[in-house]
Formats: sequence, C-alpha cells, structure tokens
Amino acid sequence: MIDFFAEILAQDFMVRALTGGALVGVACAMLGVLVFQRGITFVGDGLAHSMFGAAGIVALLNVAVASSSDFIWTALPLNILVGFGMAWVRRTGKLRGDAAIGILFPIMFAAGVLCLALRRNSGAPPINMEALLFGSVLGMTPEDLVITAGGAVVIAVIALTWGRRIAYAAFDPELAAMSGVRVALAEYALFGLCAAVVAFSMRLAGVVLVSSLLAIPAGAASLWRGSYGWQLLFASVFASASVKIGLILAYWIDVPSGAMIVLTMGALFFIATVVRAVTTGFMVVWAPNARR
Amino acid sequence: MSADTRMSANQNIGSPGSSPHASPAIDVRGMSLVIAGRGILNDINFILERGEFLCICGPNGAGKTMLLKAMLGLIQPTLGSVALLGKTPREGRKHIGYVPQRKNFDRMFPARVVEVIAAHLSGAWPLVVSRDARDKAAAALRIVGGEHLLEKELRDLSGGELQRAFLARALVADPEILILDEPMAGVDAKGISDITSLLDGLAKQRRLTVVMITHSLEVVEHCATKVIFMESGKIMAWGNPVDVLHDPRVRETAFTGHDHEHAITSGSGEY
Repeated sequence: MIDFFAEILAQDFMVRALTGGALVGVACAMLGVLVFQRGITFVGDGLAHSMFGAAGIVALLNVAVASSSDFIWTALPLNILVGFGMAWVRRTGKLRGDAAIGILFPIMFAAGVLCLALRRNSGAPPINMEALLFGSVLGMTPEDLVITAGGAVVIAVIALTWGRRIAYAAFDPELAAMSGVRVALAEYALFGLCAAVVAFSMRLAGVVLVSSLLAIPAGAASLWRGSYGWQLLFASVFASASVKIGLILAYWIDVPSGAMIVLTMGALFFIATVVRAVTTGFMVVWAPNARR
Repeated sequence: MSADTRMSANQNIGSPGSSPHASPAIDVRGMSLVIAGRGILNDINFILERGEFLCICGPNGAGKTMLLKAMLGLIQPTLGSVALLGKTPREGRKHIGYVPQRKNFDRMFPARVVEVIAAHLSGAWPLVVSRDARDKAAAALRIVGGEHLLEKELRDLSGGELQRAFLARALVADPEILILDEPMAGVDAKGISDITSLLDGLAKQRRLTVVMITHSLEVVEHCATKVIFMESGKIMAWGNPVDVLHDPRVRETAFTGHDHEHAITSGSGEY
C-alpha cells in the first residue's frame, strides 16, 4: 500500500491533479453551501452548460485557445455575463429563476455544439470534446495548476469574507437589507462567483459533472445541524477528501477521473446519510416534515 | 369622524419646521405607491417627532405594511419622499430596529438566535460569533426576557419566542427608532401583555421613537401617543389616541381580525 501511494506521489501529473483538484473542490463546496442555502442548486448545472457554449463560441472565433487554460480566460467573462443575466431575470421577476436557467441551459449548450462543429468544418485543429464534457484533471499542466489553483483560492477567500453578506441575504433578504447588505449586489455576486467557479472547475469534472461539486458536499453538510461556519468546514473537508479518494481510485482502476470523483462523492454522501440516520433516527433524515 | 381627527390625504400633519430637533424622527411627504397598476398608497403625509409612540391601525389591505416598507426604503415609492432622522431611508436604516410581521427567513438555514443578532451587528453572517457580539446578544435578549434563547436554532422556536428573538435583534444596535409590524401576531395573551409592557417601558426609558402596526385596541390605549388610521391606502385620521379612538368607525374596522395584507404584498421588496 505504501508503495502504491509512493508511486502516485512520484507522478508529477498526479500531484498536480491532487493539489488543483482539492483546491477547486473546496472552492466549489464553499460556494455550494451558499447556493444550497439560497435554494438555487440548479444554477451550477445551468452555468456549466453555459460554459460549454461560451467555450464553443471562443473556439469558433479562434481566440487564443492554444492551451486548455486559455478556455478559462476567454470563456469566463462570457459565462459571468450569462450568470448576471440569470440573476437579472430572477430579480426582475420576468421569469421564475429556474425557468430562466432551463431556457438558457439548452440554448447555450446547443450553441457550443454548433460552434465546435463549425470550427471543425473550417479546418481548425479539433477541440477535445470529451475533456470539455467530462474533465481531464490528469492532463493538467503546471500552468493549468497555477491558474486553476489561483482562481480557486480567490473564490474561496471571497466566499469566506464577502460571501457572508450573500449568506445573510440567503437567510432573509429583507433583514439583510435592514442590516446594510446590498441584497441586489449580493445576488449578482453569487451568480458571478458561480459562473467563475464553474469555469475553474471544468478541468476537474467537465460540463456534465461539475454541478455535483457544488451540490453534493453542501447537501451532505446540510444533513447535520451545525452553524453556517460548520457547514462550510464540513463541505470543504468532504469535497477535498472526495476529490483525492476519487483521483486515487481512478488512477488505480484506470478509469476517467471526473466520473470517479463524482461517484466517490455520491458514495460518501450515502454513507453520511446512513450515519446521520443511525445517529438521529431515520425519520429525521428521510422525512423531516412527516408527522411523528 | 370628529373634525379634528378627519383629514384629507394631501394634508400635512405637521409642518417641517415645527420640530424642536434639527429633524423629526420620520418625515413622509406626498408618498404614493402603485404596484401593477393598483394604487397601494395614496399621497401619504405625516411628520413624527422623536420620542413619540405611533400606532398605525386600519382594516386588512389598508396599506399599513407597505407604508412601513416604503418608509424603510425596502420598496421604492412611486411618488414622494421619506426622511428618517433627516436622512434617506438607506442611510437612516442603521439607526432603526425593525421587527417584520411575517418571519420570511429560510427555515432550513442553520441559524441560531445568537447568530441572527450578531449578523445584524456586523452586516454579515458570522462564521464564528465573537465574544463581544455574544455579550451584546445576551444583553439584548435579557431585555426582552429571552436570555434562554441565545443558543437555540430559529426553526425550533415558538411564535412568541421568535418575536422575542427578533425584538432583541432590533434592540441590539441601540436604535433611535423602533419599527414593528404586528409584533403580537402569534403571541399568547401573557406574551402580548409582556411585550406591551416592555415596549411601553423602552419607549419611555430610552426615549425611543416607536412605530407599530397593531390590531390591538388595548395596545393602542396603553402605549400610543399618536395614532394613524388608514383605509384603502390613505390616512383617514391622525391624532391623539383619545381623539382618533373616539370615532366608532375606527374602533369597528381597525381592531377586528388579523392582518393578512402582508400575504398579498410579501416578496415585493426591492432590497
């Protein structure tokens, strides 16, 4: 067993994947708690698919996509704009929030597919669709690691500091406004941060799986009755452990890393649910509103 | 309705220069509010001096809650202006303690009473509650007789306990104005008596300006120094409690049933 871990740590690409993956996982988990408390978990899925569309558009325009990290910088502003658009629709009440996401989600995804096909037809070098859809954290270059880790750390720091205002607005926007929180700004910031964390997480889990990084750790943390700070800590540890275990399992079994990470999260969530149920009674977990 | 309490909607209650202070506690001028083509408030004017205890009464749908929200700047009035302590509503909010009628907070949010009060002090949700914030929260809860609630989660509290917790939150920053929307809703008879005595005592001891929406005749008679009677988005009567309550129509329409207008208007805030 020791030889196995020594072998893993001797591989530069695994060290980069474990480091970058854990940091991105923690950033996603922290934002996930905010998103979960705001009741907009579906936003992660919508913005991930929007990121695919944004990546397709910049690939078609042939804007600096020499390396995969370039996708982050070129598609990120577009994705943040989409996030702001979703927040605007929610706030103005033009459509229900999830309806806006449901409309933008397939349109942006279809735009991505179309743009990548047009790029291929034009004779430009092909884009690795599988990496966009399912992630490719094991192919992370040192430059990718710096960008991904840097973005993750910045987002995590914002979540821990300014994010506390977003959390207050998630608790009760009216009371938060009375305490000096600019609730509209907090809402736009939440969607903008989600768009950014999704962009930085594409390497780890890809379009299809990235929303799980936001939803599962936060969902697991919510099983316990702890403070908001405790939930952030639990979700972060949960995400970091899941990413590392998933990556090691993926290396060991030789299967795609993104899928293995998400399945590990799912398994740990199930274990957390069972532990919670055993310690507090099944009804509390699976039927909290049932009459007892 | 007696002549001295009857007023037209466009009549000022006081003149801007009549206050002995530099600025009155609340100065509302020509406020109208239209939502989706429906007139909610119609040309509201009044000036409330500091240290007054104002009770706003009226039947369901009169616009009482919307008047409070517009005063606080939580909703932008279509016309008119509001000054709180001579400042804009956004600037004046920091000097105001507010207790909403319906507690719209997310029941699944992991919120303890001490955190709700600490969040009001810092303007952000605490990751860890500081000793200073905890001491202030405990002191505020002691005032309202709820010191045992400090570490409790909000979702575990009864209606009366919630009101005490939110009242402590409103008092913790030492406000100059206390604004309460139906603070007796969901509170039992003893709780109503306790809160009434508490508010009356606070108003007198601290010279707090209090604005309260209520359907309780007992509370108005016990606490109020001024009363506004609203109907259909207009101020129909204003004055001393004895004068306003003398009108049988006020007594018949303002103090029966419960206030459901919030159900119509909740969620329409522009924070």
